[in-house]
Amino acid sequence: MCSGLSHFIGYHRLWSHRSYNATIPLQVFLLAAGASAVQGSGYWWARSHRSHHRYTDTDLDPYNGKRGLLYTHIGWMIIKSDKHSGPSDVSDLKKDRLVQWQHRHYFPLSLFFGYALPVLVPGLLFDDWWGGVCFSAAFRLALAHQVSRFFC
Amino acid sequence: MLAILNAPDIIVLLSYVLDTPCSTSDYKPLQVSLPLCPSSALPPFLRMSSTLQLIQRIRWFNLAVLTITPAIAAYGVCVVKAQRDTVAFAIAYYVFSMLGKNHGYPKIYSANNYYYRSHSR
Repeated sequence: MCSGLSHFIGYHRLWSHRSYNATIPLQVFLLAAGASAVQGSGYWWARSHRSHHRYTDTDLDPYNGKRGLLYTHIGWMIIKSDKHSGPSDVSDLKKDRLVQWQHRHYFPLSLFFGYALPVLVPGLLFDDWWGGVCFSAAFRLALAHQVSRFFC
Repeated sequence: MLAILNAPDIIVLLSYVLDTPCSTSDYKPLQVSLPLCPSSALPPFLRMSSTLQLIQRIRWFNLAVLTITPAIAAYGVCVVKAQRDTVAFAIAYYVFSMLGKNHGYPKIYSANNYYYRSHSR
């Protein structure tokens, strides 16, 4: 489903941090990282993604492959469709307080981790505000959008 | 880039949006209706144009995020001088983003949560 360097690192990180103590900080880290990708909250994304795996390439799949590469790449994000995602079991995510907290505060979180933080870090540390705006915020985010929509 | 924008995809996409017959896919076109009154009930001169139907269906906020962000990136590549430290941070932050999206969201919260939970307790 996903490939490349981050696949290796993700597997490594997940399977090497099995202690209960690492779970909450790791979840916070991954939810912050997820917000920085500006592609929806973890709850929203996982719900759609479970529908996608459960009803792959049917009307209930939010990114139905039969609707063409352009639709599954970008069309489903920018065009309202009459077809809605099929139901999937998200009872575990509804009980997960961290996931629900990120979902509730997703907009300010993605604004902060997606745009503000990557501008502030190069701006404050290297005095390179425009580099932060253009490269670590916009270029990084545009690349992450394009790449993850091809592989996930 | 040509592979992304091949003609059948564009035809399929437009056929959903514009409710026109489409021969390149077995998927049925969307039934587009007016908010108050189905377009077939209106006289032809009052029916919405296909362009208007398309515009009504666009998620403007998402479209803005997905066009303004690459536009700023392209501006930066052309105009702003890249500093070594900033580029290094951008690469590191890219990896951070991809970890959350590609390994947090699918592995923990969608596909692999049972495995993750059973091994993390």
